Amino acid sequence: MKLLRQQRPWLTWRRAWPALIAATTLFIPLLMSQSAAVVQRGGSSAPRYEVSDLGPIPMLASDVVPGLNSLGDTVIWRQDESLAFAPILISGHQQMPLKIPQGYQNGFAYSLNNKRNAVGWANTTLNPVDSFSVTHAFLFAHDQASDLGTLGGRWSRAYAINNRDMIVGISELANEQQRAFWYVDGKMSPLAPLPGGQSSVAFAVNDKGTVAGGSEVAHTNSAKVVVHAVLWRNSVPTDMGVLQPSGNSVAHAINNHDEAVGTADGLAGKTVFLYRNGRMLDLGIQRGRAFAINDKQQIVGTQQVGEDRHPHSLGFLWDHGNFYDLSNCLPKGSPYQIQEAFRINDAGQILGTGVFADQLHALLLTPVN
Amino acid sequence: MIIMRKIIRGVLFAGIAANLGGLAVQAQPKVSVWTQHNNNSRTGSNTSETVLKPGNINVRGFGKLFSYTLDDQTYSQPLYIPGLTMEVDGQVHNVVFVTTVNNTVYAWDADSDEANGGRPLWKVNLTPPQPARVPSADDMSALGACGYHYHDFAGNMGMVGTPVIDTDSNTLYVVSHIITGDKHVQRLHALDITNGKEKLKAREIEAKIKTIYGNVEFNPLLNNQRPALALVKGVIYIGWSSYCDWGPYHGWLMGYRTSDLSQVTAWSTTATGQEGGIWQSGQGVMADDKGNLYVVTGNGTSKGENYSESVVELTPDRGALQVSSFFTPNNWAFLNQKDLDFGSAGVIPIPDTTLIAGGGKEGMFYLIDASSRFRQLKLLQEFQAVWPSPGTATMHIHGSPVYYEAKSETKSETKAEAKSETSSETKSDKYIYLWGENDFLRAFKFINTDGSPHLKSTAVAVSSMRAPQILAPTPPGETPKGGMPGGFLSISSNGKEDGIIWALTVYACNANQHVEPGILYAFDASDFLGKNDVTAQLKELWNSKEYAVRDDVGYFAKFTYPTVANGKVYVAGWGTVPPHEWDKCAPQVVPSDRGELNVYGLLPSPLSAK
Repeated sequence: MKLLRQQRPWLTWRRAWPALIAATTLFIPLLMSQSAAVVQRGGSSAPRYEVSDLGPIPMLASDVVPGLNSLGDTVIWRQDESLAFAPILISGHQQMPLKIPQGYQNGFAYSLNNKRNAVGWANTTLNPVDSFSVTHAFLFAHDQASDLGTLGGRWSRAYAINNRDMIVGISELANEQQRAFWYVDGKMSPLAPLPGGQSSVAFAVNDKGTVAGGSEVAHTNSAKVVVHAVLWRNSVPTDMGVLQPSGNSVAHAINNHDEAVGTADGLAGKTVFLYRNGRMLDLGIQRGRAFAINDKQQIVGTQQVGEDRHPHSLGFLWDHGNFYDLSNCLPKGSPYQIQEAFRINDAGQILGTGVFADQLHALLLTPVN
Repeated sequence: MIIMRKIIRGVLFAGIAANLGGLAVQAQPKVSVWTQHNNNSRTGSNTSETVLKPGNINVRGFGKLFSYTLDDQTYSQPLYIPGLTMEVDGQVHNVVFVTTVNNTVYAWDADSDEANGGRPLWKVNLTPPQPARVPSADDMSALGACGYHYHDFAGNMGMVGTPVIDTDSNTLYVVSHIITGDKHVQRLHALDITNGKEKLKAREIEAKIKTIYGNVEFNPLLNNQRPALALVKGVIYIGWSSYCDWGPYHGWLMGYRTSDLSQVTAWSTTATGQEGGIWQSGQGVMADDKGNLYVVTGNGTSKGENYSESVVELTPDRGALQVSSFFTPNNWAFLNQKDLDFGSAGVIPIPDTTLIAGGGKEGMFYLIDASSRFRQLKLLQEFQAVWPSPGTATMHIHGSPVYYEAKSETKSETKAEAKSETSSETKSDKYIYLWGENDFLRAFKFINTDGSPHLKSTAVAVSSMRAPQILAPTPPGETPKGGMPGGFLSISSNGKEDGIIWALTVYACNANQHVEPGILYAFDASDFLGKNDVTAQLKELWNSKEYAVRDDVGYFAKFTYPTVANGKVYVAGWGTVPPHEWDKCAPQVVPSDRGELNVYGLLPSPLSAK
């Protein structure tokens, strides 16, 4: 929900990044309790993964995440000698740079479908976080970058693409409000916020066309912005609700069963929720953030752990009530510490980042049967 | 031409000869630093420095000349007034003034530690006799601040904000903080800078504002007088924040008449809300030529007539301060939620424009048009200016930015830029320098050539080192943790030439709530290394660790800026670092009551030593 607190989403990811950093260094809640449902952190019954190191990846923000499709292809980003960021499609051992549109300096791809079409955004200044630059949503496909335009404002950003090439994201309107969009057949259309709200954002779309994200809601206290997780079916919004009265929630991912995951205010601070059958469930992963859910209801994300003076993050897998610290699921002696898990496909492959030799690397984890 | 040279040589020789004979009257130094960061614009620039030049700042020719021992830590920037006739000896001295958290004000000879027998020209402690005493961090902890663990100050916390000097009346204004029994009292003092005596009866700080919800009162226990005092058109403006956001508290800005210390105005940032501290990591309130004041506020309520997380322009109007306009980032609620104070540093104007610039804990830098008169100041540009090292490092801006206009030596970097530049604008380059925590010192170029003023958001040059340089050890597998609070900058130059950036930073580990080693750097402000690269490197001229035996600045004096005046650099420190701890984090327990005023300058040449 913090993403929706801003009125200028070309800054959304950079807003999230400092928030994550601040949370891990300054204001760590004292309690690290977990719900009874979360019981395992590795062990003999834990899943096992082999690691494919996709190379160093410069840290950007907690919501600038790389993409993974069902085939195991990935999109990540690299920074070249001129300091510009460029998207890279990795398929097996092949690494293919995605073309950045002319006039733009940085490009990022967030999401990748099974046709190897990717979406993201590009901007015109070397500094990727600069309101002076032009930032537009782009489709990277067929060795071309196609400008998706905006909803009338100055900027837009694409967050997800499904296997039907339906794209969702966020754009500024002519009146400077921000609005979730869906893009179908060459046309960008707004997704209405919940009643009483002004802003909305769409982070994910499944192959049925159901969209997940967040929306401002009507609130009585004008000093507080309240955001609820929302599903759009045929562009009609459904409020997924919250875990606590007056709390916030936002959905980051959705599977093909219309089950969504995200982050919400819980009793002891931020927690991960699972939404299914019209109910929002607290998974008890305190200080956690879910990034993805597959059709097998496996969820991945990141969690802040540790004491105030030595906080750090871990990448987790939640699998039907069992919680796994992914660093404990690697081969014995693995040098990697998994910090974040961003994507999981139906084959169980997980795309995340981990620390190796004091450097952040993009890592593809493949289950070992 | 030859004749002219001979005449000049003759004049010089005669001058030297006369000086040797003790007959000559010393040339009066011109520069005074009467307020924090040099002027009410808070540019941090002394553009009349004729002695210190990039060419003579190196370890062979520049270093620590001497240092004075203080009775406690200092949070104030040293102030400097030249040519004062001091009561103690009736002699003319260049004098440097510094305060400590023990409520002590010192006046030291700025040029020699042998003047007055090595003793201060005057020293006054403004804590009344017992039972009055100086409040300490332990007092705050005992009362519950910061969850009973208040460590923003290491020990005493009497005088904090940098004083201001009225050079017309030779009066220094400073706020003391004492505790008597359980009662906290803050007072504004007016001291004669020639002898340290109080010129007027100290004024106890009090304020009460009536609102529709009841009275809002200044609380000397909860309100931390953190920013430097400002002198604007005969009024001393004083700002207050909090201790660790321990409340309920309100940010305050008050004005007192210089002539009699009567209160002219008292304005609360959040009269019908909460918090909204004015702290700016010690930077003073900025003022323009018309007397408008610009403050930046921290966490708190930001709706209606409450101005937390905002830049606020205040206009004195028949005594009272009126909010004439303001700017609040759209994500203020997020900043508030995450304790990412927008007001962790002050703003500065960009000369010859109507623009002001600054940034806060989020590491974003804002360019704002202060000419807009539609209640809300117009945001022109914002960009991420601080890029900390990978890991979970913070990216706060605490040290306020500084501005320098350099004689241009570089050509336009792009064809478009060259095309848009007019001939007059190619003569100088305008830079804003910023050193956010865990990041490099960055030089951002200001471009105002096509009717669309902005800062080039990718730094044109960066330092080769981050602040801090040395990080705390971390367990295996974890990314290194950074440290606060980044660099505190001042600039010296001779007009548009010989620009030097003086930067005081923490050298090792995290100086947030802990005493850690510091380092002083000097960088060439405009002659960058690798100019053809995307981002050039700031040329480091010197640092205090290079020959630490002589030059070490000691423990880092948090939130203090170097003062450059007439060939010398005055830098506060919190005591000597033992040599075996020069290059590592400080131990868990460090003396919390030490203070030094370090004086750097050109070293005597071997010839003159003989």
